[in-house]
Amino acid sequence: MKSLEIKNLHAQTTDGKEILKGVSLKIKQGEIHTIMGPNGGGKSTLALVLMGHPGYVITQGKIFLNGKDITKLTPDKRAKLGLFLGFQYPVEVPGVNFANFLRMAVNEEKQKKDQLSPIAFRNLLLEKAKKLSVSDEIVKRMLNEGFSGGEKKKAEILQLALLKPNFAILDEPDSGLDVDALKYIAKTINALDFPLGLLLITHYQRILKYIKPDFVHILLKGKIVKSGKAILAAQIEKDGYENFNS
Amino acid sequence: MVKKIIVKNAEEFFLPLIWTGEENEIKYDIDLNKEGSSIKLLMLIIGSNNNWADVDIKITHKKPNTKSSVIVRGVLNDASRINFNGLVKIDKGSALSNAWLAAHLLLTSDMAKGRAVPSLEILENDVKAGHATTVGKIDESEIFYLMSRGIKEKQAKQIIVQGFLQGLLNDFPQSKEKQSALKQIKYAI
Repeated sequence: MKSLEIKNLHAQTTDGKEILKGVSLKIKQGEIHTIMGPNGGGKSTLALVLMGHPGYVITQGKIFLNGKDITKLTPDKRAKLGLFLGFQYPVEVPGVNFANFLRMAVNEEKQKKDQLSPIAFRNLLLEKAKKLSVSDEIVKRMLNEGFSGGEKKKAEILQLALLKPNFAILDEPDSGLDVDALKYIAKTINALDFPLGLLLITHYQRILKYIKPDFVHILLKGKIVKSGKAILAAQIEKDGYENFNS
Repeated sequence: MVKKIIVKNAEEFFLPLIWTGEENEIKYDIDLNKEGSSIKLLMLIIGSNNNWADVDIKITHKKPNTKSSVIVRGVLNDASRINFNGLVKIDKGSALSNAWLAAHLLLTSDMAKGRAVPSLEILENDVKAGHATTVGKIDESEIFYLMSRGIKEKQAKQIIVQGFLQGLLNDFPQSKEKQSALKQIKYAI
């Protein structure tokens, strides 16, 4: 069984501020886990640390992907082993064509004989883009450059759909989206044509109307203080995070 | 030695320049000397090893309705150094002139050094003039983003450098110099 397992993870910024103070979590393939929590609780740090961001140092604990210890691997190696991060703030890379880049990334994981030609990839990209209600213009555009907030978030999901990882961490895929865009994103995630384990980081319960989590975890001050089923999200919506403060 | 160019007709004067380390001094003094004349100067800089150069570009608008555009993009690898000074002067009487000066230098190594200083000297009121200069390292967040998609660090840097130069390269005519400059980008990083 494929899994993403985080064991007692402690991480700090390169200037020594401890953000994660012992996070443990196991996600199996096919499961949807949601992490909720107030600002500053460590949600985005967890996402970045899992992908291997150089701005953080893991001081204790380990990360396992499908049984393999990836704690010290570079981000590209983690990606190749099947991990994906959907960024809260996707980075603009000027002058780099979105479609060419994504084709390169998709082909990176394939044997030479299975690699997609520019035309085959273009057709695939357009098909997936349509499902997300992303304009055909996407094939001409530069990587996130000049994209609106909503377009950036959709483009992350488009990359997820084409890269087909085993596990994806989506860092607030819902922030800054209108309801229609949110529905398209949720629909695409629910209709992925490959098995995925999902770690969905969100601030609001709104997206959980469309994507049903199997488990909900509350991350507060660098620790998971409570885990439960979907009902926990509803409880937070009602009572806030303050009850978990102890 | 300063190269003097006087533009005397109303067609656009196109001056593509490439520096890959051969000379230490590139100096141009260009006058727009006829009403309606214009110049477009593109400069591609690829520094490697410990090559260095001083680049001075001076453009003087001497007649009304003249136009200048100077666009410099450089990638500085290893311990290469570039010192760029761009001066655009719009003389009195050169109304409706339009000047744009942009210089961007990207450093791919801690040892590389770049300096870009733009100056505008405007003696006429009814003109448009602007400049933009940046000198900086490859953005770490861009590298991380590309690597998170399975691209190796070295390749990620190459993609970013290519993207940085792309706009300039699109406007650059095909030539042997361009081809060999492009090869240098690939090998240098």
